[in-house]
Amino acid sequence: MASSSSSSSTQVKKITLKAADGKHFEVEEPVAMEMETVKSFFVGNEDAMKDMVVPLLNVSSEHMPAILDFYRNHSEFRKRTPPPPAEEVKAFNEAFLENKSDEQLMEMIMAANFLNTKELLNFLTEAAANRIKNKSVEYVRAFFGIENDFTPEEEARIRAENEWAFDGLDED
Amino acid sequence: MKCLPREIILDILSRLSVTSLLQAKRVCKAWHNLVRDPLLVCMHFSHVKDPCLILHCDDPIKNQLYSLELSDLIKDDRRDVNKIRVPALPEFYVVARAMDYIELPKSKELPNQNSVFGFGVNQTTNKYKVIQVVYWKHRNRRRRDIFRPLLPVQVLVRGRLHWHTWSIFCSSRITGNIEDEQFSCCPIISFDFEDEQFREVAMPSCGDLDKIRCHLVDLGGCVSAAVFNGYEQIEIWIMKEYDVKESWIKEFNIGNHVPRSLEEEEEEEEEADQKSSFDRVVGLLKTGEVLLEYKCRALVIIKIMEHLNN
Repeated sequence: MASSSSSSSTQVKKITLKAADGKHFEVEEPVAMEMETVKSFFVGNEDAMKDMVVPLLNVSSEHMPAILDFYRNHSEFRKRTPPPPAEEVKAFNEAFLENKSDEQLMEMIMAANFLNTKELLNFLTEAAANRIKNKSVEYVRAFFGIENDFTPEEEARIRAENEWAFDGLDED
Repeated sequence: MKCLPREIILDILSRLSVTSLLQAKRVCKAWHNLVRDPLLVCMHFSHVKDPCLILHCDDPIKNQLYSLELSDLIKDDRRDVNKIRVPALPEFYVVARAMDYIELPKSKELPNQNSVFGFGVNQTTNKYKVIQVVYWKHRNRRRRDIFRPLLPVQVLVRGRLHWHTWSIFCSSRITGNIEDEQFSCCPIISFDFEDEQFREVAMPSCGDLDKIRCHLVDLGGCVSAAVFNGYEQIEIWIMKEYDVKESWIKEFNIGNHVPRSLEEEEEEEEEADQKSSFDRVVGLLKTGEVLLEYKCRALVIIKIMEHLNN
């Protein structure tokens, strides 16, 4: 269901994006313009030609196909009349997150933040929140790669203050 | 792994439940400060989530508190209510959900005094306030209008707390018995946390809200009322535009709302004490369903099949 969608009309202009590791991606113009960072490269920059390569310094090529797939599908969802059933959107979103490790999710959040696209960023931060909710403190630290910088005394004090919140956690 | 920027962490944290947020305080020093960031509170409320309920239970042990995240409940119904360990306090009221508790200075206790507590925030100064409204139940038998208690159910909408009030008239000058008193509904009173003023709020002119079994509820940020009509029918009224009399409309009816599994117990409960024999509309869920508290015993989710308008 992914990328074949609208490419039947061959006139769609393409924009070339260059990932951090130098790999090039040819992207239909409307899809590329979903990313504010790409858009601002052209808007108000009259010298920029549409055939210029846009460098995306913080986005690894590993995540580009998935990110572009997200934009293609979600912009299609938005345009479709009548709007797609909630289950279809949900199924796409779930499939998108499936097999993504925590580390990959983090990297995609960084990429979405750099590309400055609200929709993808909101979606990914919600996904991250879902992965850490009702989890133990140790799990959350491992998830974000955070070092515990509390002394044992400090930690015990904070734990005591919020004791009631520590019942009913999920298994890590 | 590279560290995520502060605003992204705030974004992720703001999507967590209150209990998960309290745990997040323990992750590291930076997060401990993040959780106190006033911006986080605003962001938390902007992500429209189903409410977190705090349940106050007196049976079998007095003053037990439990928390329940409704959004979790909908997704997987295995989540239980969490017990909130409360410090040993002599007596308390639950006024609102918050992440901390404070002990208030004791107010003067007078005979025949009743009070209602309210909790809210002044949005300009970001200061939380607890108010206590005190009234006296003195039974002056020569005057008709005796007292106007505020109903304990309160609704916080647009930075103002709202109560429905009752008036109790004594119909018999001689006996002054409760049975001889007549109840009638009085205005909705609001308290503005900004200017600390009480005001009267517009009510529909049809008088349908002047029923004894009627309570206020916040439905999607609008002051609304649940009117118990007859035995098993609840009318939901919504004030679409704040303080505009004409904007009150009857939005939908909830028919037979007694869950079948509880129906059989019904008969035995006839003699149950007054307080626990009422149903109460708690609010609207994100799915558009209505959450109802059934006689202090069960929470019921009701799907609204038909809206009366539109």
